[in-house]
Amino acid sequence: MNAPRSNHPFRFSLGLYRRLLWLYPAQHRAKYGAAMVQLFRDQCRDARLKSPTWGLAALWLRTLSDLASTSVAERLAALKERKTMTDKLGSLFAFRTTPLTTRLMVFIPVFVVVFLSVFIGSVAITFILPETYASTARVKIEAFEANTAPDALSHQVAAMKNISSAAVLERAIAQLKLNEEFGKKYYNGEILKTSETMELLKHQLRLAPVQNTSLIAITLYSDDPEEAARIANAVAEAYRDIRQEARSPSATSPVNALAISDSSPIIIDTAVPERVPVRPNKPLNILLGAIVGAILASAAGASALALLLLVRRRKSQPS
Amino acid sequence: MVKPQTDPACRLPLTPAVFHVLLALADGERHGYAIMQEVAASTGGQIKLGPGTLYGTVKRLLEAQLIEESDERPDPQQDDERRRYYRLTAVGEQVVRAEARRYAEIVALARAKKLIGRTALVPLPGGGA
Repeated sequence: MNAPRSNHPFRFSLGLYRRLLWLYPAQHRAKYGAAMVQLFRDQCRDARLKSPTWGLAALWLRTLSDLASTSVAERLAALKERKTMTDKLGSLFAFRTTPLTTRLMVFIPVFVVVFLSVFIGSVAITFILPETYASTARVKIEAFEANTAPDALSHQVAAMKNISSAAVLERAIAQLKLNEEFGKKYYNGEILKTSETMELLKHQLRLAPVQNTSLIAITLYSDDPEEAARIANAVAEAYRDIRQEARSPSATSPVNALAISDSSPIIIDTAVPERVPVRPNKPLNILLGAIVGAILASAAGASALALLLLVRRRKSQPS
Repeated sequence: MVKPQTDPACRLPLTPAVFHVLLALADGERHGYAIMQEVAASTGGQIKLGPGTLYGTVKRLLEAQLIEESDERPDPQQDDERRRYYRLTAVGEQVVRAEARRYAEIVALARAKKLIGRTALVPLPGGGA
């Protein structure tokens, strides 16, 4: 069952290359088309052996450049064979025989090459970019002390300040041994100071109130979905525990450092590892690649038509 | 005075793609993929001919009668019968020799001016000998 799936990009590439061959003049295609497909097939096989992941993408980037330059060269050579170049360019715009066909013959090859270059480039970049996953834990803020939080929103704001406070983050860092873990991940194994780890953690942490509720969303971004969920949960738990300790009459610093504007938080949703990355947004990037590619390709096709029209006008002007 | 077309010198200089394809065929007949591999190997991967460039070059070399299609086929069990084999013509061989001599003269000149030393002529990676 695996073999047909792994062959899909290979077969798709061959099918697409066969279709792109019509960018070449019919005579050239008839004589060398089969050999070119055979050679491309061999190159696909080599590319896959060299790099199963990116080999075909790299080959396509080279092949599109090859197609763009050589198809234009072959078409120009084919035009030269019949008449002089200027006569032929002029006749393209004479529209004496099949005007739409002749216009399409100029427009479509340019459109296809530019569109595919932009589209495949955007797809390649999308898949090269590192993936970022987000995991969110939600904490419910229970009764609040009216003196320090006059309304629900400021209560939530105060709660978010507490969640991102040094006391909560230090506890989460200690619980997960993030000084060692981040040191291994970002600094070749060097153990970080808690203040350094906290800076890194703050960059990965996003807090947001959930509208019309007393919930705070604690979202953690990471290249590892498991790590994102683990840290988001650790921050939520550290906040809950510290709040509960703060309510105890015997509580002492640093717990008391969290100005009491919220109390008895409950973790409503624990963070779970997400399978789909939030960045890059692959469907959006591919859609944008297609839209931008279509716009640029249309502009390039129209420019090619305008250029040929200009050549014809210059030729028709008396010297 | 216009030189006759049979004079190899009137076809020089060759483009790098043409020269490398002719050099690849100097060892004997090859099909398109083998030419591409030989060019990539002899230039250390610096020149990777795509299908369009390779068969465009082949077309022009056939028209100029510097190469020809070979009728001899290897054992069908060892080869794909759809492949086309090409070999140098006598004129093609003269032209590639003339171009190689031209390069050699340029190298000799550069060496005489001490722009390069003997070590500049080490074989390219993957280029055999």
